[in-house]
Amino acid sequence: MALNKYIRLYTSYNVWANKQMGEVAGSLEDFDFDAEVNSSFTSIRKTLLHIWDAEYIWLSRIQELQPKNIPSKFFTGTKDGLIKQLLDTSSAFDEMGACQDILSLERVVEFKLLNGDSSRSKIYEAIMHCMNHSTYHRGQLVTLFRQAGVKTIPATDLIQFIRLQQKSNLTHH
Amino acid sequence: MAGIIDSAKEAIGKIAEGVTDFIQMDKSEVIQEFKDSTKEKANAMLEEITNLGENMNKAGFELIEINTSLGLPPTFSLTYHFLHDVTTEEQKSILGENEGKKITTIILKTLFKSTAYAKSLKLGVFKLNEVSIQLGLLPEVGVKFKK
Repeated sequence: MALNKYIRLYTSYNVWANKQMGEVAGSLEDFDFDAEVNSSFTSIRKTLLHIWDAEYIWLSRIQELQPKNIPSKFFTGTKDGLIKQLLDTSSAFDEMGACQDILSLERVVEFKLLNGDSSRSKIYEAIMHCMNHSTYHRGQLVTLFRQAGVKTIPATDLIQFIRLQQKSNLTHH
Repeated sequence: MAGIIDSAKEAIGKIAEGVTDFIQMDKSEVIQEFKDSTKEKANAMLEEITNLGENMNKAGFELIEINTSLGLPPTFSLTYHFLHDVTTEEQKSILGENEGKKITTIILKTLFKSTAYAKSLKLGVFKLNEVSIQLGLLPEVGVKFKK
């Protein structure tokens, strides 16, 4: 599979998996959504904000823009608002993935890290890192959902998404 | 002193909410326009933006700066200087004159909403001076006030 196809698979998988998590998070009571927990981030809200931060910041870097409105710094809205905006950012990230070809993915972008240091990455490295980062924190969300008493949590394995895509392709052909 | 601090806090809160609304506003519409923009489409959009001069002045704004990023798809950052208020009827008429021009409509609506939003804030001697609009996969709006 060509690199751009592989990358697109990953960015579209990320939208799908975040939607699954968003549905579970959306079904929680506000109390559970904001309850203090013992994890990398101290609530389900903060974990989702962190995923959104990373996708927003990396998309800005790939687009060669200075990230201005870092979600966790400005967002004070509702649970549903947070989930919607995270999914909007994931979809925008996926649209960016759809625009890339083999050559553009090898392009190097330069940017400032949050501590002000200069850094650079190839676009495909930045995308892979960010998608992997979201997967890592979705894993934490699953544990937090279970702690909040959620009984049924959808599987978000990559292979699950691939199988669904294959099924959908079969239906459409 | 406490009163001033409370007013400032309230204004900052309103700004944060307002900015969030703007970001949400036409986001999907903007992303739809930009998601598969080829070089030709991007050039056509830039041409539409830069040819808006007279219409913009009628709408109470002047385009003073354009920044483009080289990302795929591209991003345009536009800065508009606020010239004067226009009535709701005038706004409707200007939008009607530009019906069908997607980017123009997005920009005009954003500018009009920025004006309404600026009016809703009570910032004393600080008046609306500039509106910056970022168009691309990460649409953003900034409003600048000046003495």
